Amino acid sequence: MTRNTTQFIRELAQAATPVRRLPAPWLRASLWCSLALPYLALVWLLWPKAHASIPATGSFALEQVAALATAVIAAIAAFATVIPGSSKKIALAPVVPLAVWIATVATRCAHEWSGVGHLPPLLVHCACLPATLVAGGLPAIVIVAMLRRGAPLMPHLTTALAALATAGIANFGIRFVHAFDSGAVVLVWHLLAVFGIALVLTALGDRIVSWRHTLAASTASTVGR
Amino acid sequence: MRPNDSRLADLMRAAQTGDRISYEELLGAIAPLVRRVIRRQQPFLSAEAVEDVVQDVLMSVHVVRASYDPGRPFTPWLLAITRNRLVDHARRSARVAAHEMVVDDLDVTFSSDAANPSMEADHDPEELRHAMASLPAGQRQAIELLKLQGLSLKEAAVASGTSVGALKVASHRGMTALKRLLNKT
Repeated sequence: MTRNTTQFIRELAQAATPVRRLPAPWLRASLWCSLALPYLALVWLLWPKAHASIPATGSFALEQVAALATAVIAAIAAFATVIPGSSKKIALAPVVPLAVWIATVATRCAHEWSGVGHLPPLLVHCACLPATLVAGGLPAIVIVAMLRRGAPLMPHLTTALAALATAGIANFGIRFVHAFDSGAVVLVWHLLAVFGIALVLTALGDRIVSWRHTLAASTASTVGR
Repeated sequence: MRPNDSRLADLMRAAQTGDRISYEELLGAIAPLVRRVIRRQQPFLSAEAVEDVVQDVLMSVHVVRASYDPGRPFTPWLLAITRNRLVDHARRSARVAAHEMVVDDLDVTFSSDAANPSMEADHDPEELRHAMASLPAGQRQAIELLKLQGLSLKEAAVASGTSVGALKVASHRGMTALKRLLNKT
């Protein structure tokens, strides 16, 4: 071992302070949901609604359960990716609820189209997008802050999963506000638009979650403090 | 001899509680292990570059030590970090090699104010001296060596007896602190 590394080890050891162990990914995901869901309830309370009720249909319930399941499972997977040594296969876990979610919306869209013969006007419903973005804003900030406490080993994958989790939970919340939107509106303004933004965030993954941020955020310093 | 995984896990568990002696023992035990992995994966690296990566790995272990779960084996946790930092290092080296070019020393510069937007233009040198004096010793030394004496990172690392990575961190923190201090006044 060279003198420098020996010295470096000594400095690191001197800088060692007790650290709070990261809870298991499922616990962190639960914590994230426990912060995001009350916020969504607040958005639901404050956001102007066209209808006070929600549709009592199996399709709506399935869509909501699938969106929430996608959010929770994607969040667990995102938190697992910042634990060194975790299997990458966990990233595949949200695929099933995501497929159910998209299939539910697509099926409704197809039924409506086959019944009416044309798609509803989509542009007039563009207000769904800002509502979904507002709903997803805080959960996105919280999940990124939480992810930065882990090891940024796969920044793009981690960000993709975090974006999926945020898209899921934001859609879950905002669908109670826009409960009677048609399938096409939900598909375009709630799903495709949000997934488009999620894709952009994924491309910027290494700027959102990176060793640079982790080092900067580390309160336990090494030298120079 | 290869350190026992459960022994390393025990040391890390103790380190997470702030036990500095166990932590130093742990880092001392994993450094040769990390060095061996690096040499095996990238045999063409110079001894100096290997030490840079070793120190990067140790620094990374340090900042994410909270992510280790003592209920799980330690070695896969360490190897995941090592492989990741090794890939980062290779990527960084390729980027530097692609963009870096050797130029002669240029002794001519533009003398107009617009081309020299230094802090001195806006701040009293005395103020700067005070701000420097208020920095922690490590940060002050990093700035003195790198910014005032104009040493390269490697020269400064040799002069200060610390690593290139640690110097970069100290210099960055020092500059940020200086900017903050000077903007306050």
